[in-house]
Amino acid sequence: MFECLLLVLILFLVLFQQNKTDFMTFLKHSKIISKNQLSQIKLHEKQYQINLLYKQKLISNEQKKRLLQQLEKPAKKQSGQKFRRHIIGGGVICILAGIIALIASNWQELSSVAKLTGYFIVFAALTAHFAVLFMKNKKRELWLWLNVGWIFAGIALIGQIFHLNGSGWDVLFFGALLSTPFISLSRFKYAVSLWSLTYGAGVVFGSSPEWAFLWILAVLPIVLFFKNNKPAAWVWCVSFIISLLNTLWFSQLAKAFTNTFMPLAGAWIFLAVLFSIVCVCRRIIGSCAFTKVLRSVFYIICFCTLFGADYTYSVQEVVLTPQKMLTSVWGIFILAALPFCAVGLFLKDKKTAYIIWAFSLILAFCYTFITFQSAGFILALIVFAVAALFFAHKQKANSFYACLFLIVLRIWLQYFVYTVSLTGVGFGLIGIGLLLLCGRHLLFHASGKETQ
Amino acid sequence: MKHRFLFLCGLFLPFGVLLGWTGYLTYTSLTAQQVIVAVKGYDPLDLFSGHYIQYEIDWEKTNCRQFPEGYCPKSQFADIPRRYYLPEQAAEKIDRLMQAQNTVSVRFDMVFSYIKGRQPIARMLLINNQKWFDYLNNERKK
Repeated sequence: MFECLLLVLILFLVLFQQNKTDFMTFLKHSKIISKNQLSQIKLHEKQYQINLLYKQKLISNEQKKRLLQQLEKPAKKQSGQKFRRHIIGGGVICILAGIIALIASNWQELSSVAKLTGYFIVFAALTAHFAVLFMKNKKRELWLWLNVGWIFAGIALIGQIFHLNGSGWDVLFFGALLSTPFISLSRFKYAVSLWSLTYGAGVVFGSSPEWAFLWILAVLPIVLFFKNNKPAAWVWCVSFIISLLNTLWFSQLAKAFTNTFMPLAGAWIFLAVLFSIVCVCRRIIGSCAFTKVLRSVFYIICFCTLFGADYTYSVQEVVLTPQKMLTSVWGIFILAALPFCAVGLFLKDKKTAYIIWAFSLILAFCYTFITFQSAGFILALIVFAVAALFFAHKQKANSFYACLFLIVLRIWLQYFVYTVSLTGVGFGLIGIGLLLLCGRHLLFHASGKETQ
Repeated sequence: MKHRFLFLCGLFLPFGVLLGWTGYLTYTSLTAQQVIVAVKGYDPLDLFSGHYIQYEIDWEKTNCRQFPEGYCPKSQFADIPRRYYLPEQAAEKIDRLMQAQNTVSVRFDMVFSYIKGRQPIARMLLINNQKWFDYLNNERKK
């Protein structure tokens, strides 16, 4: 069954690839390639100016050639370096993921005391290192996110060791709360959006949403302590809005519809209310920082509600079924649509973006009625969707290929965990990482010699 | 100086919270009364299966006199997670045993740390009154 679906998916991708001309038209329409075009225009302008200088006999022919060569060199060099860095990065990530998979497969062999001691030693070291970097005003963003990831890992670890109750949403909620000091210090432009996504999902779908609003009072002093930072203000603003809306609306009214198909209706109403708030605020206040926050909250909660409604509808049974596989393909379709949607939104081609977004939502809700879903898979989808959005926004990689990569990676991992075991996945990932690093070394070392 | 101290306090807050939480849970699980509850298999197949067993509490086979109340506090066990994490290969074997519990004469019990009014914490899986890893080792020797 799974293989058949995989074939269908590949067929779809091949067909999509054949329609690349349409895809390119879409890209042009949403002004995605405008940046590249812009840099090319600048290059042409400079070349034109050099030619002009030569025509006016202000520079000699040799000087003109040298200048033209110098113009072309950095661009080639930069793209080559970037490509090499990407390969190295990919290789290192694969090896690290492989090591993690190997540790995970032998995880229970370690005693609880060893696990917890190791965890807290690493955590203290990470936080101390970040504090030192912050005080010396050095680059620290990577360490900040490592700390955030480590907090989430710790909650999962403690939960596993003590066999605690609680869903993944509670982990998101608690993790987001604890990572507030770090998020407040982040320089990453979309840190607050990512944080809101996590916090919002945790608050809305966690086991005790009624307490969320009270919890935020506990966070407030921490955030106020970092009040000089702009992200800190945003963190507070976003968390306040989410908690307030959740407490007033979701926990009171939408909960009444539980155990029927009505969570979906509740979700729609909730979205409509949020959208109205955004519209009204934009009309009254205009486009200011506050409405930007509201808008980002709206998009994030749209996303959370979509998956949350799906989760509420099908939370009872966790069994591997063909429907689940079908649902995974649905997830993949949604993921494929997301980067286009995100790109459209970010480049302010709102009409296209809304059409795609609406199409995705309708498709998702239709599938929700006829299929079943599991919580873990939804979480995985959210993670990949965020990654896809990030790629799409950054535009460092082609969004379409980034999305393809994520889809293939997801299927590959799922397939191998079933057929080979986690240990096999670990060795496989390490092998791929080494291959990438060796391949990169052989490829560029040889080409370097040739050019010399 | 004061500002720096406060900054570090804020930064190490998550560390402190997690450490405190772990300490509290360790203290609770070590000092609480231990109760043994019979368990039976429950459909464990999902996308992340293979690393845990999923069980249900079998109150009919459980000795209710061991509880301080004198009866089985079913409501207190209603919300506990029904997953017990095991190593990859052991999980598969124990899972098969659990599924064949009715045909093969194997008894499964779970040791819990129990305090009245609080959620019980699972501590150890017993198979035929032996710790699960001892049972597997003995089976291998046979």
